[in-house]
Amino acid sequence: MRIDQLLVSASRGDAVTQSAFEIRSVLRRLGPSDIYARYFEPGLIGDVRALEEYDRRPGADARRDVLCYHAAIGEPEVASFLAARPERLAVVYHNISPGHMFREYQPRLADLLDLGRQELRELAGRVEIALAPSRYNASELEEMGFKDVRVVPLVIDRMRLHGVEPHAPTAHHLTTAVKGPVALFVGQLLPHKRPDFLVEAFHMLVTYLVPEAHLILAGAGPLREYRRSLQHYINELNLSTLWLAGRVTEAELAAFFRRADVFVTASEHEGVCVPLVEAMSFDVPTVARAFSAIPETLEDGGLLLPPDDDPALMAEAMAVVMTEPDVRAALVERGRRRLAAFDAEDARAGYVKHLGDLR
Amino acid sequence: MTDEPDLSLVPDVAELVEDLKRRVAERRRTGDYPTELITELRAHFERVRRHRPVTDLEYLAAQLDALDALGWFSADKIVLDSPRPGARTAHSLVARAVARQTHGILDQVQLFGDAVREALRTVLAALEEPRGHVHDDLLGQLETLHDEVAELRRGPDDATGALASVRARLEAVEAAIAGGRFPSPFERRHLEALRTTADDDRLRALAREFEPTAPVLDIGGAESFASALKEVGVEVLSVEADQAVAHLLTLSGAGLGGVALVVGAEGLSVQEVATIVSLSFDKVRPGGRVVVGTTPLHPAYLRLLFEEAGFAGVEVRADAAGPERAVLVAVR
Repeated sequence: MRIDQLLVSASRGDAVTQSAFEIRSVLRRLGPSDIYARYFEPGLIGDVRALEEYDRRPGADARRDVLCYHAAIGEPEVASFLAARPERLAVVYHNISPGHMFREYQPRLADLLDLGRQELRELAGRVEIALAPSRYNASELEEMGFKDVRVVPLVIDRMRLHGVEPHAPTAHHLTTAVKGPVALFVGQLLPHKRPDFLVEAFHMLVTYLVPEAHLILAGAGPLREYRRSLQHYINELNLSTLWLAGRVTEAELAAFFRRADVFVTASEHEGVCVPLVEAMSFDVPTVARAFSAIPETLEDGGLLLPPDDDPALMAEAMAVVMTEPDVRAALVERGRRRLAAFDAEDARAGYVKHLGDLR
Repeated sequence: MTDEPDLSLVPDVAELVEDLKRRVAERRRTGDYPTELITELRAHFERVRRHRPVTDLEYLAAQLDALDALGWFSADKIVLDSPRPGARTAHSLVARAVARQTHGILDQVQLFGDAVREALRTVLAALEEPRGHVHDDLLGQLETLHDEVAELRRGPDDATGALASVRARLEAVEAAIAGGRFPSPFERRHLEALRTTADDDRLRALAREFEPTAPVLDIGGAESFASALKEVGVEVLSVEADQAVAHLLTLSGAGLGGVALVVGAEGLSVQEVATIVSLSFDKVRPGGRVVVGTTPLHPAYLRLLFEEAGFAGVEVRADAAGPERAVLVAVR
């Protein structure tokens, strides 16, 4: 019996692909296992197989084999493929961003996101086990009609960036040219992550509370018009200490985390928020808003603000962490304690247990 | 002794959040935060976003293709099935009885649908015509310029340093000339004299823009332009650039004949220029003029601001100072 995985697309650095690699290392403890994808970057040839090769997998046994689908976006071709498969199906649900927040900028992408949820609903009756990396994702799966839904923490290598040498020029710049406390956000510049909310909060922070503060927003901006609007907004507010760093390397990210005084996110939709865990691993206190899976990721390991729409509260939270050493030290300690919950080996064991049940 | 921090300092995160809320409420109560700050920030971001329309023509074409794929209206597509006994026969009889009318309605709907589809195809073709993309390209170019201006404004120290460096090199060249090491007709004092003469002519030309209107509020307060205005007989009120917004706010009604940003307004921020444009519309009487000869903004962006403020006649012309510069004249 084989347990293989299927992705719509695979690329290096992509969180879903990374998760599939982690799960494959677990599945290979149980038996043969490969990753198949409809689209994948050339660098992954040999590591990831094309969808068309699935029927030629070694030792195929359609009645017993399991195909584990990673759901993160819609793709009609993959949905038709899955619908026609005789193998047993499992799903890992990474969550699908809300299409309506993208429609204004990229209607085709918004269609695919909406389609992803629709396709998942249609698959519900055929899936034997649905795995969700958070209770938030699990509740969405149940709402879609999945019966056997299990929460399995994502395999997060919480010390991953600690083994990366910080990018020397970035580290030098951050220690010599950047004076004053630094707030850091890591994530794509997308509407549901609300970087505009962080800009508002930062405007209030430097205007009224901590004038020497800096904010770094590190992450790609795949929606060109949205990213440009944000840059324009920042320019017009004359926020000269707000840095849109764009897509960054792991070495640059390591330099940012080492310099940051506080990690902030205003995101309103996260299936799991890995950068919060990475921040805690660097002893960086965290500030976030209680939306989607963020409360269960953070618990009391950081400063969790209510899911309201007041950037003044976010500004006040950044200020208190930046200027009150006792509060900062206590939040760092809370982060350390929370970090212990993210054990990669425990998470791997979870996948072995749940996918092993299908044998 | 232990190095571990005392967690009791933050006994409860929820309690800390409540404390933060109290601090925010107190700042609002005492007026530290302007009442409408967040509303204004959001409205501003909304304006920025609205100026970036996204037209995905491929998506539009795909939607039209999907419309084509729906095919014809047809009576055959009307479902006559029914779970109730005999109902299908009844539906078939009714359908046959009104077949002529049904076909008549469907033909009309089909004609209308075809016409709408054809009109949409024509619209798409017009949009796909390269000339139809000018607006998007222009926004991109404006943004690049705007970003460059913002970069320059962020680095005054570097700009000053660069100027000092150029000046030092020029002085070294002049010293070499004075030392008789090589002759040059391009001495700085000659260039300065030429520039001054050219500037005077330019300022007089700009002052004449206001000839039918007065008084003119001269933002920047440079003596040179005030003199040029007086020379052409225009009453002038001068105000320093950093006092301009505050001064405009004190004026009641539309009593000004014009507003000038010609000399000395270079240091205004983008936001200040935008505010001055907006206030000028309120404070300048109909027929009055606003003349802009120097701001940190690209003329095309400036034109956008004036048009948004409501100015009817906005014109950008070449400046007498040279083809690389522009002057904007807006009529209230």
